[in-house]
Amino acid sequence: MSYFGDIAKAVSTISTGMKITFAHFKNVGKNKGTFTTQYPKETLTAPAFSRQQLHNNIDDCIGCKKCAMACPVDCIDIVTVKAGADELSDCSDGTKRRLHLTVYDIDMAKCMFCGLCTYPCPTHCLTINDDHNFIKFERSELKYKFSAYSPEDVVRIEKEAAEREVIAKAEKAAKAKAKAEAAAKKKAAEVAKAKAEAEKVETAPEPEKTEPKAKTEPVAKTQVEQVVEVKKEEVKLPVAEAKENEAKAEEIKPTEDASKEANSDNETKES
Amino acid sequence: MEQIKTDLMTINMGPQHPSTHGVLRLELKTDGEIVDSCRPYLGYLHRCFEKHCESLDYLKIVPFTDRMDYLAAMNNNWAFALAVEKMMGIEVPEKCEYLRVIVSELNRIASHIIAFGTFGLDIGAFTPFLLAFNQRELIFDLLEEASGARMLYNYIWVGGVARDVTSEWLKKVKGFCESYKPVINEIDDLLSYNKIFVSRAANVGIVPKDLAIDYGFTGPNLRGSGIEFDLRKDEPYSIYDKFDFDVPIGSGEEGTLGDCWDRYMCRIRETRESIKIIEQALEGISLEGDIYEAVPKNFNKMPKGEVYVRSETPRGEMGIYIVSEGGKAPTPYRCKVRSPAFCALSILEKIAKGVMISDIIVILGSIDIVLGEVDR
Amino acid sequence: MDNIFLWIAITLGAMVGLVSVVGIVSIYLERKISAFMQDRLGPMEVGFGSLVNAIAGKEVLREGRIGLAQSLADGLKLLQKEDIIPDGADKFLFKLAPMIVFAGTFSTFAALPLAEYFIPADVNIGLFYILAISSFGVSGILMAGWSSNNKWGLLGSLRSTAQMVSYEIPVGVSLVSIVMLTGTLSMKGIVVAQEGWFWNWHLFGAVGHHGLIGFVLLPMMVINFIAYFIGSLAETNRAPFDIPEAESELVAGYHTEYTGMRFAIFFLAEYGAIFVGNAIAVALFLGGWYSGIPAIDQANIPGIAPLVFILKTFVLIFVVMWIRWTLPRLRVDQLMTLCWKYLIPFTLFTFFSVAIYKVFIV
Repeated sequence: MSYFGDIAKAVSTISTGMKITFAHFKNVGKNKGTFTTQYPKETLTAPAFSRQQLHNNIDDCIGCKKCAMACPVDCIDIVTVKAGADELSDCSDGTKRRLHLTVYDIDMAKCMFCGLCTYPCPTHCLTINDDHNFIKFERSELKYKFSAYSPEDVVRIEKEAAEREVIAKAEKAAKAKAKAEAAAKKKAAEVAKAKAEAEKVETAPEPEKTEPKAKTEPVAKTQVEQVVEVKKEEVKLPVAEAKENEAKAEEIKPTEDASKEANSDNETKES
Repeated sequence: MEQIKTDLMTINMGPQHPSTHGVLRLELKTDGEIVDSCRPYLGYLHRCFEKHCESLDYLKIVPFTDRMDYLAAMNNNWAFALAVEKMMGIEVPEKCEYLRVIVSELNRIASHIIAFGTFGLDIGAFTPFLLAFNQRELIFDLLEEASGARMLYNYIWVGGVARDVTSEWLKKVKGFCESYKPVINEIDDLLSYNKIFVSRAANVGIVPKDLAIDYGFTGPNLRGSGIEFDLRKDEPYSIYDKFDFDVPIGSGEEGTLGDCWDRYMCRIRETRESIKIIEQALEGISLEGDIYEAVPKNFNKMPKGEVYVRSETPRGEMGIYIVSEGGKAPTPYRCKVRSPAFCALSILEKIAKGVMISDIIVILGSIDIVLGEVDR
Repeated sequence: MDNIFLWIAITLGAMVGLVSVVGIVSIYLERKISAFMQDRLGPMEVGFGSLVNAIAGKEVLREGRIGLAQSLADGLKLLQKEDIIPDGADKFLFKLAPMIVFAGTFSTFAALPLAEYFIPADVNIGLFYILAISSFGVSGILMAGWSSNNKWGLLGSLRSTAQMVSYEIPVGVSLVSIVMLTGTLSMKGIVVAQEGWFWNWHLFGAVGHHGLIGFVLLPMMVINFIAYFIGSLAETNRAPFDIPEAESELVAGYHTEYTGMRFAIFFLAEYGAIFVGNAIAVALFLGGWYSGIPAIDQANIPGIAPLVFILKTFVLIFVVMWIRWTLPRLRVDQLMTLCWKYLIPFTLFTFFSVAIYKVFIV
C-alpha cells in the first residue's frame, strides 16, 4: 500500500508547495511585495551609525595617535610636528591643539571596518559614517589623506619646528649650562677657598658669555639662520650660544652631562 | 563479467564548486556515480587567526573573531568575550547580557537560515532559499542598526557591548519575531515535508548516536542524532538559565535517526526556539544602565594563567582556549579555537563511502560547515 | 525546382525565427516567473530602446520598464564572447555537439501543427517523426560531455543519456494510446479528431466523440497526460529532473566547458525542446489549435488558430516553470525509480486499457 501511499503523499506535498509559490507569484507588486531594491533608482538608507567610511575632522584632531594604536590592522598613519604656542586654534570642544598633523592617512583598502579607532578619540573628530559609496579604480586612491597641509606647507612647518626645537634645546642647554656654571663656580670657589687657605693660586677661569656671539656673527649664515633672523631677531643669541655651548662642552664636564640630558629629553618627547 | 577491470575515477570537487560552501576541496574517488572515498582537503581559507591573536591586544582580537564563522559573528564575539571575562573575573551588566542574548539569537536565526536555505539549494530548491534569505536580510537590517555592520559586527566586547540600543530597535525586533513565524511555517510546507526533499534528505548520511559522539559532533548536528545536549540548557552561561525554551532533537520521523533530514529539521526548529528566547529577552530587558560599565580600559589586569570556555554557536560548541602571561599591554600567549565545523567535517570521510555523488552534496550541506571557521 | 528551394528557404527562415523567438520569450518568461515566485522583480532595466542605444554606441538611458529586451541583450552578449575550446577537448566533436543538439530540437518544429493551414511538413507519420528526431539530440549531449574532456561534463552527459533513454518509454507508450484512439500518426489528423467543444479533447477522454462510454477513457487519459507531462519534463532536462546539469552537483553538467555562442545554442535548444514537448502535449491532449468553443473556431478570425495553439503551449510552459521553481531535484536512482516503477506501469496500464476499449467497446 505504501506504493500508492507514496504517490498520494507526493501529490499532496507537491501541490501544497505549488500553492505557496503561486501565492507568491500573485503577490508581486502588492504591499507584501518584493524585497528587491532597484538600486540606482532607489537606495536604502543605512542607519546613522553604520560603519562604512572613516572620516577625520582634521580641525578637531589633536594628533594623540590613540586611533592608530587602536587599529588592529594599522591602517592609520599619523605624523605630527610640534606647533608653536598659539599657532593652532583650539578644537571645537576647547581642547588645546599643540601638534601640526602633517600626515594623517587612512588606508581604506586595509581598513576592516571594525570601528575600534573611533571609540578612544578624545575629541570625537574621527568618525565612521554611513557613506558607503566610495568605489575607486585604483587601490592607491583608497588612501585618504586628511592632513590640511600642502607639501610646501609641510616643508615649512617642519623647518619651523626644527628651528623651534633647536631654540628650545638651546634654551634648555643654556639653563643647564647656567646651572652647571653656578655649580662649577661654587665648586671653584670652594676649591679656591680651600686652596687659598693653603697657599695663593690663580682663580678658576670664568667662561665669558658675550664673546661667542661676536664670533659667530661673521660666519656665513645657513638658511635656517636666515629665516630665523627674518622672523625673530632676538632668538639669534641663544642659537649662537647653543653652538658655542657644544664647542665648549668638552672643557666643562658638568655642562656636557646637562646638555646630553637636555638632548635626550627632547628625543623622548619627540618620539 | 568479474574479469572486467574497472578503475575508480578521481574527481576533484572544489575548491571552486557551487556547493562546497566555500573553498573546500574534496577528492572523490568514484565508481561511476557511487563514491568510494571522499577526502576533504582544508586550508584554502586559512588566515592564521590563532597565530595572529598572539600579537594583538584582547580588544583588537574581537573583530578578528568575526571573521572565523562569518555567518554567526555575534556568537563568535561572545565566545571570545566569555573567555576573557572569565579570566579577568569581569561581571557583565545585566542589560548587556540581555542585549547579547538578543543579538546572538538573531544571528543564530540568520545562520540557520543560511544552513537550511543552502541545504535546500544543494538539493535544487531555489525558492525556499530566497524566501528564507529575505528574512535574513531583515535580521541584518536589525543587527546593522544595533552594531553598525551587516555581517562582521564587532559588537560583543569584553565586558559589555559596543553600542547601546533604543527602545524603537527593540520594537523592531519584536516585529521581526512576528513576521518570521509565518515564513518558517511556509518553508516547512514548501520544503521540509516535500516528498522529493524528504526522499533526498532522509536515510542519507546517517550518523548514529555513538558515531556522533566519537567524532565530536556538537550543536544541531549532535542533536540531529538524537542526543539532547545544548550548552545553553545543560551548562547555561550568561543568562540562559532565565529563559524557557526547548532543545529540539532529531527523531527519525521521516527516515532513520541521525540522517540529513533530522539535522535539517533540528535547525528549522531551533530558529523557532530562538524566537522564543528573543521574545522572553525583550520582555526582560530594561534599557537603563551603562553598557560600558564593565568594559576594561586596558588589559593590564589580565592575570597569568589559562582559560577554556565553551559556548553554543549555531554550528555547535565553540571553545576558546587562551593562555595569558599577564603583564603590561598583554597579548595572549596562545589562543586556540575549538571549531565545531572542523570536527563535523571530519566525519565526511567516514559516512561518505558508498553514497552517490549527489548525496555527498547533501551530507556536506546538512553538517553545515563554514570554511572560515574550519580553517580559521 | 526554383520554387522548391524558395519554399525550403522560406520555411527554414521562418522556423529559425520561430525557434529563436520561442527561446528568447521563454527565457524572459522564466526569469520573470522565477523572480515573482521568489519575491524578486527579475530583469527590469534593459528595454528595447536602451538595447538599440547600446548597439548604436549612444549613451544608454534607463528606458526599460520591465526588461523586455533582457534575453535578447544576453544573446547578443553571448555572441560577442570569446569562444573557448579546452586544450584537451576533442575539437571536432566539441564543435559538432551543439549543432546536433540544436538540430534535434529544430527539426521537430517541422511537424508541429500550429494551425490547420500552417504545418511546415504534414507528414503522415508526424508523431513518429517528432519522437524519433527529438531523441536524436541525446547523442549531441553525449558528445558534448565526452568531447569536453571534463569529468563533470562526462557525468552530466551520462546521466542525461540514461534519463532520456528511460523516459522515452513512458512518453512513447502514453502517446501510442492516443495514436490507437485516433488511428493516425499524422499530427494534423490527431488534432482534427479533437474538433469542437473542449470535452472532445483527449485529456477529457474525447467524450464528445465516444458518447457517455467515453467517460471510461477520462481517467486513463488524465493519467496518460500526467505521465507524458512528467516524461517530457525529464526528457527536456527540466527540474525536478535536471540532474544532467544539476548546478549544485555537477557544476553545469554537459555544457560545463562551453562558452559564448555555443553555450547559447545549448540554451536555445533546451527552451526549444521545452516548447516542442509542450506543443506535443497541446496537440495530442489539449485540442491543438481548437479553442474548445466551436463558435470561436468557426468565426474564421485570421491567425486565431496558431495564436490559440501557442497560447496553450505557453500555459503549459508556465506550469513547467512553476514546477521548476517549486520543487527540489531528484537523485539519479530516484529518477529511474520514478520512471520504471511508477510511470511505465501506469502508462502500460492505460495503454492496455485503451487497447481493450478500442477493440471490445468501440
